[in-house]
Amino acid sequence: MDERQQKESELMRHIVNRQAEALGKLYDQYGRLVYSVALRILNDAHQAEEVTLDTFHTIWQKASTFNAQKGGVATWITRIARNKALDQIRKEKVRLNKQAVQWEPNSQTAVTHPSTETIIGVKQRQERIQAALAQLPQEQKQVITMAFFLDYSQSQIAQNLEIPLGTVKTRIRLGMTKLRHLLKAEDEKIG
Amino acid sequence: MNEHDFVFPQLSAYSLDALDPEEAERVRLHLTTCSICQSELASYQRIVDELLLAVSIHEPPSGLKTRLLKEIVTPLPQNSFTAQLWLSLSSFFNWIFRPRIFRPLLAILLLALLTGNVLVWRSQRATIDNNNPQKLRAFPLVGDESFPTASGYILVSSDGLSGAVVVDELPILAEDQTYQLWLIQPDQQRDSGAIFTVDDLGYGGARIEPPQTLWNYRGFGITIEPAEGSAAPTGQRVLFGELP
Repeated sequence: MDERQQKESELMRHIVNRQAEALGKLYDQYGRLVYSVALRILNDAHQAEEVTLDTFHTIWQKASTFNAQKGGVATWITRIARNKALDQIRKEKVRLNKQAVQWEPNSQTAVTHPSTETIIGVKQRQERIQAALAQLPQEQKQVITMAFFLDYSQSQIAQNLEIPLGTVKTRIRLGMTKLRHLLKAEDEKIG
Repeated sequence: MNEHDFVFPQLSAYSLDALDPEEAERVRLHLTTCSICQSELASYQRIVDELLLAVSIHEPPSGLKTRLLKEIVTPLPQNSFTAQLWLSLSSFFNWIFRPRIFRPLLAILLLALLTGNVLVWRSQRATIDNNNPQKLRAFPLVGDESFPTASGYILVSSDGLSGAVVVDELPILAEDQTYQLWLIQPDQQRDSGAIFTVDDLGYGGARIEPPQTLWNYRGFGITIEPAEGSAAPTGQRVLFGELP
């Protein structure tokens, strides 16, 4: 476990011990990311705000279930935020239209107040995945986005885009394989 | 085409939860025995975890952190009726006990209530123990990889002929879907144990009606199924647990 992971685990331990200050610190580090994930899925600022609060309430109540062996805090928190936002979509049967389905350029990604090394670690990962996504053909990005952010199955994507199911399957497979290849190449470059 | 040849190309879509329920279950079953596919899936899941970081970063409203910290320190009841009732009662007691003269009276009243409750609890507990010598046992359920905060319990009576399932933090399902509890036999055959849904907070539960004593099973799984339930698991697994 590196120094960053140790700090994260320590922060989570404080939250398990019901120290509100620690939750505030976690919010400072990940509040923007959680809000942005919710906003990306729901496309509604008010709902994104509620999902953000709900996500941190869950963290407050379930911090003891966090397992550093299964992934970092950022991964755990963003998974919770995504699940909650998708729940909201299912509850209200809100579906974004296909014009909204794209990975917009991430011009605001630069974190203006990097308070800890954790943020820097996340920022590096953000830049890495964005660079990889930028190299995918648009049609592959589109189907991966629809599956991941809008909770569409392959059949629903095919129906929505009015293209054959086989084409959707191929695009997802090629897109994911290429992402894996690109991220692996980045890892090798770094390490 | 053998099962591995079918499953292997589906793993990228499986990692995105993009397979239809029948395909997803076929993949899930194969994954329990194929280490090659397990390793392939793990490599895609790492990408999926990274994808969430690719969103554009937006600033949340400035007062959100203050609201969060205020709420966790003084949580309000969830629904609006109880919230209003809570506020009304708080105001009432504030008004009644504002004069200092009432404070000793309040202390005596609280002490009397506490003592009374303890006596009533002890008496009821003795009655329950006498009438129900059989004790329930509880077994935890843990969330599948995609549902890290989901949790639950299976309650089993001592003879194993009765039981209940209680879950929390599960996703709200579409109207044509339901959660189904599966009782897993030692030979991996599954029996249906219960069908249920969850409320807006992801909380729900049901009584288990087992075809045989629950002690004969080795574990439990909960999957998402069509509203009328299925004869065997076909959808994504959300919770699982073992019976020692």
